[in-house]
Amino acid sequence: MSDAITHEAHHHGPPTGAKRWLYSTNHKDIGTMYLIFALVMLFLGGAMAMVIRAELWMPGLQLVEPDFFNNLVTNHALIMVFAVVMPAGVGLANWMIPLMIGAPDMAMPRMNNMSFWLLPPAAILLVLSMIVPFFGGGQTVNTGWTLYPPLSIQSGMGMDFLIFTVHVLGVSSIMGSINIITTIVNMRAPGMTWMKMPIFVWSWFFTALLLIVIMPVFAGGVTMLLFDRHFGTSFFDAAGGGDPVLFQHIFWFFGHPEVYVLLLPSIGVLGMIIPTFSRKPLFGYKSLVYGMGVLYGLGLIVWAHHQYTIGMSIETTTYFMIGTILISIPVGLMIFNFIFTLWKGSITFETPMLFALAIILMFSFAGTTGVMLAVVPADLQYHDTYFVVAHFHYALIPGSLFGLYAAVFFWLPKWTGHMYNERQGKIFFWWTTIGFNLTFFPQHFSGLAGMPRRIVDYNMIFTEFNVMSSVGAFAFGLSHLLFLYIIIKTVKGGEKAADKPWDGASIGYSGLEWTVPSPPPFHTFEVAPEVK
Amino acid sequence: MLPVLKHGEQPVKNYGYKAKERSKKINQSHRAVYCCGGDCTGDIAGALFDLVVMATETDSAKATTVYGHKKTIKWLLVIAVGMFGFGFAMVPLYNLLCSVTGWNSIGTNSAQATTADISREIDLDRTVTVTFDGTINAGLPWEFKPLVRKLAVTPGKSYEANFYVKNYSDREIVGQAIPGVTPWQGTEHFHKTECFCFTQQTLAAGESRVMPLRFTVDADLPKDIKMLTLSYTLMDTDRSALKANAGLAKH
Repeated sequence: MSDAITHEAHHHGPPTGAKRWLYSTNHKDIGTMYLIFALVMLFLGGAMAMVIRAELWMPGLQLVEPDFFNNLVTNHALIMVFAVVMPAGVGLANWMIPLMIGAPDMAMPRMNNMSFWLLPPAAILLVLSMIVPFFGGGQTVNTGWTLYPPLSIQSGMGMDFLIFTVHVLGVSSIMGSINIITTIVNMRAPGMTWMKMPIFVWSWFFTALLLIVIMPVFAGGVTMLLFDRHFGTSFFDAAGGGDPVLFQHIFWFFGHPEVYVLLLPSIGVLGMIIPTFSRKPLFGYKSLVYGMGVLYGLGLIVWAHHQYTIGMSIETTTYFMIGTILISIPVGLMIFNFIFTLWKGSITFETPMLFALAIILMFSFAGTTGVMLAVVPADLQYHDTYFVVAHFHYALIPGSLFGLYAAVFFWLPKWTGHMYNERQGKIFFWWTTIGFNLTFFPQHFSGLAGMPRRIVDYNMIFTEFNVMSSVGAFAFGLSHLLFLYIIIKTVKGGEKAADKPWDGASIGYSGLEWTVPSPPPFHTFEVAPEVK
Repeated sequence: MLPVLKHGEQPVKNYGYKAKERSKKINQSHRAVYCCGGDCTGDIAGALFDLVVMATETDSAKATTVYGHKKTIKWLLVIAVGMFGFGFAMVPLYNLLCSVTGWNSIGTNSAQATTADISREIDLDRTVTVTFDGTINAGLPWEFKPLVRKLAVTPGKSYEANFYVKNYSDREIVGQAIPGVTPWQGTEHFHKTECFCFTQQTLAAGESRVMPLRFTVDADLPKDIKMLTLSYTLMDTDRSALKANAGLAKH
């Protein structure tokens, strides 16, 4: 321990230059890098979505080849899930969890560094998977993000790059999760009991626990895929005694809880923002914590509702149907908790609050279509149509992406020490929300009318809905330039932010992030604070 | 005694359960992390050090390990490794579940029935329509079709149906037919006493063949099933044609 003590005397600022970032072990710097990475990838994934919508502007082939279109659909999904929402969530966790619970850093700062620096290589592998087919790498990866065999066994070299991407990302998020849980379990300041923890910390506790359980299964699944492709095994090849349906089970065992990995951090953010701008303590804190626990448990055992059409027995589909509908109970509970927090509150409508309110409304909509999709006889009708596309975009864009935007506006003053421009923030909110709804609302109708998903061309009768979607998508995409402008402008300067920029931020709340200056110094809580 | 952090010298308030121990733990956490958070650099060796050394119980770990972390990390690593294993364990578990329940099972479909499996009862009062279907898996340059499309079958009696297959390529290819019965509830009542699907089929360039199938639908077949479909998918066993198609061929 004597080494540790001698270092105690060193009080210095951050190292300078590239080394500060390359070798960083500081949770704030690493959090910043995660967020910047997510923002860059958001623009990449968004650009793909723009090409998809431009192609679907009219029936017939306009811009891209069908195989490349399917490749775009695949990589758009993988980038948005693995390279935008997950890293952004981890970035928020890195920044805020140590500040909230009064820890000086993450439990394993050097591993934290490695968790982040695995991401850029993974992103490069992902981009390579798109490029290699143009240089003789065989067929493009045209399977969709679910990577179902036998198509994924037939794809070209791009699939191998994609498999390695998943491996690298998996290692990164498992290490990140171990780090986050260890920090939460062992490094809370004296007095910061479990039931005093900010709800955001709880949400990340469950998210990280979920990631540790599901990511290794997915890594195992794609490893089997790799073996089937190159080493003559037949895990998923019927000719050798395997079964392609098995991959679907492995994938969705991971894929369904993954939805909650994307959602829970944003639920945690809502649990911070809504009490702040309602100026009331969070309604039903305990029930929200238990609700997340129930969501964790149920989320792990309902995966096959993504595969109703594979020919399972009535008993099995009934089980998965009931389990899936049960999930609406903890999720509904969370929504009601937020509504009751608003009840008789002294509400103001700053940008984070606008996002939070919009999330409650739009995410509930996704919940409603979710219950429709959970019902087996109805789902057989909706399966693989644009109705599903509309449903999961309503779940994931408000449910996780808007939650992240709300978090950025909520904490940007804390991170940078500057207030963002409220007027621009509000313009961004309305622009992006209207754009989003215009994009995805018509897709419910084209889906119910029978338009299948993942196709490059469609019947003329769907033209109007698709034109609406495309116009909305371009507006939605363009609004993000304003988002980028607001962030850059706030980082560079602006009105000085107080240590606690939101007057309602600590009502009935024990988190410690508002006790440090804005922006926080390089090292915080070198002396453990006490929570009363 | 070693010097400790400032607030460590102050009396600790009672925060309830195990307050003293907890306060001690926090002090140590802060010290050890501060050492690294400020002064060491992050690299692969450091990351592995964090993970491995903290999770194991070596002397150097004792000197540097933060109290409490070791146990947590150990458990989390066990879960992660265990779940990776669970992913692979799903293969035998899935096969087991399918063969017990009869869902989706290639094993049950491809097994050869012996006379002992089939009840001798003949149900003359009903007729079940059995339809046959043959599909070529992607990339196999063969022709494959049933010579009889439909048979009216009396449960308990034995029937024969032939399939025709021809290799149009200029090389020898080994194929394997994978059967499936729809609805799947009929699987356990559909007994194949002789089937080309029991073995692999080797066809030379241009060779054609008529392949036999002998089967019995037993009288225990649920009454509500009036029609059964036996469908075969013919697969290329070394997937060479498939790989050539995808640009993965090694030759």
